[in-house]
Amino acid sequence: MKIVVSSTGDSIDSQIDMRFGRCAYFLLVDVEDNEIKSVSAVKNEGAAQAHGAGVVAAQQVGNMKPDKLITGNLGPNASGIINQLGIETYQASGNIKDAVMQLAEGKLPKLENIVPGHSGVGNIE
Amino acid sequence: MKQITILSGKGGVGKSSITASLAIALSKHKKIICADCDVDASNLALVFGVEPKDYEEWASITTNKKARVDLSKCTSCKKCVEECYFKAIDWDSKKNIPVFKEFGCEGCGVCELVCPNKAIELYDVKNAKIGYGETKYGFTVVSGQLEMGESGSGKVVSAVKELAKKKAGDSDVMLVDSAAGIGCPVIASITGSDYVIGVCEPTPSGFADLKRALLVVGHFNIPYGIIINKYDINEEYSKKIEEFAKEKGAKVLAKIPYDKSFTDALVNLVPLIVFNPKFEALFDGIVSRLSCDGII
Repeated sequence: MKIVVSSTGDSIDSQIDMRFGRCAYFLLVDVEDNEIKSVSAVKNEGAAQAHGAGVVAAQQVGNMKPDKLITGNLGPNASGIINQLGIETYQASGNIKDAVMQLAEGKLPKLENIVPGHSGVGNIE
Repeated sequence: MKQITILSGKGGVGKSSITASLAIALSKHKKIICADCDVDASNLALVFGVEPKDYEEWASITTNKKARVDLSKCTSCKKCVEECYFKAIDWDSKKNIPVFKEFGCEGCGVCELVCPNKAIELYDVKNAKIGYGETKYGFTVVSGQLEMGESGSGKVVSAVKELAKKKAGDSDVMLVDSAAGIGCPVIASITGSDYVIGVCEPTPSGFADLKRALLVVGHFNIPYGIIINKYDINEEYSKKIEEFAKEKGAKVLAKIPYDKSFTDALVNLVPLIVFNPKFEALFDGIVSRLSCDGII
């Protein structure tokens, strides 16, 4: 299973970047039988864009052809592309290695299923 | 560190005045830092009385590219002039050369692509500067300012927020004065926020723009509350906004009456709450409501 993670650094011990479009790096992690087989990092080209960071970042992630994505949150433009590509997105924060292992064990929540914990959230009209 | 972002959609409804007073009320209980992400019209620092000359440092940042031509390679084919969608390249028929107009160029790169002689290249332009200054009220304000003819962008906003994080030290709360509108700079302003405060005045345009801005907030699943400014200029419309808030499960954090002190405070480069201390109770009320809901 190939997992892409929005990351603040270029190693598996980095923290998850809660932003998707303007995260520093994308980490491509290959997991099999609950074991990390390989890790590679690429700079997020979206972060350098004046406008439309989410679109560029989503294209880049699409080209990495992952099965799953771990990030903090997706913006309106990025989520349109990621959903169309059928990449399942999971929300997590903190250490990347921990999040990847949790995902492998089926313990991470899907981004679309996250129910707001506070008042004042919802679609307007 | 918690991030609270204050937005309005529509400009001129009192967002920065309210942000400044809220900052001072908050700073009595928490260590805070302010980030002015309204880079198109950045004036939060001014509301605190911090003028550009008072800044500790300024750093230039680059978010755009513009085209330039190496005339020694140009064969006067005019392709760049014909293809420039933004009409940013004129033809000098006397010298038989293209003339690149800096302020018209959007940096799209079509001219570079169509030039058969590779005479055109894109270069980085410095289109904004960011910096920070200390307010008299015991906290730092980080600001961005665009160069002439440049537009606010998510990248500039992100740079302001990153500098604020660096300067935050052990701050408990980062207060973000969001860009206006609902586009890229707003998305960059609210990304990573724990809570959003929507400032609104009871007018059709104020309410409509706030609702549009809150759509973006809703997309990120970020909880929000609403402050109605000048609620008494149109009480009927204020009720509509309150009903809307109730429907969405959002709290109305405050209803502020129309008061000339808002303008007088701005004119005197002093935050409202300092200029007219009768507003202290109102802003303390907002702080305690935020605290009750576990937001700060």
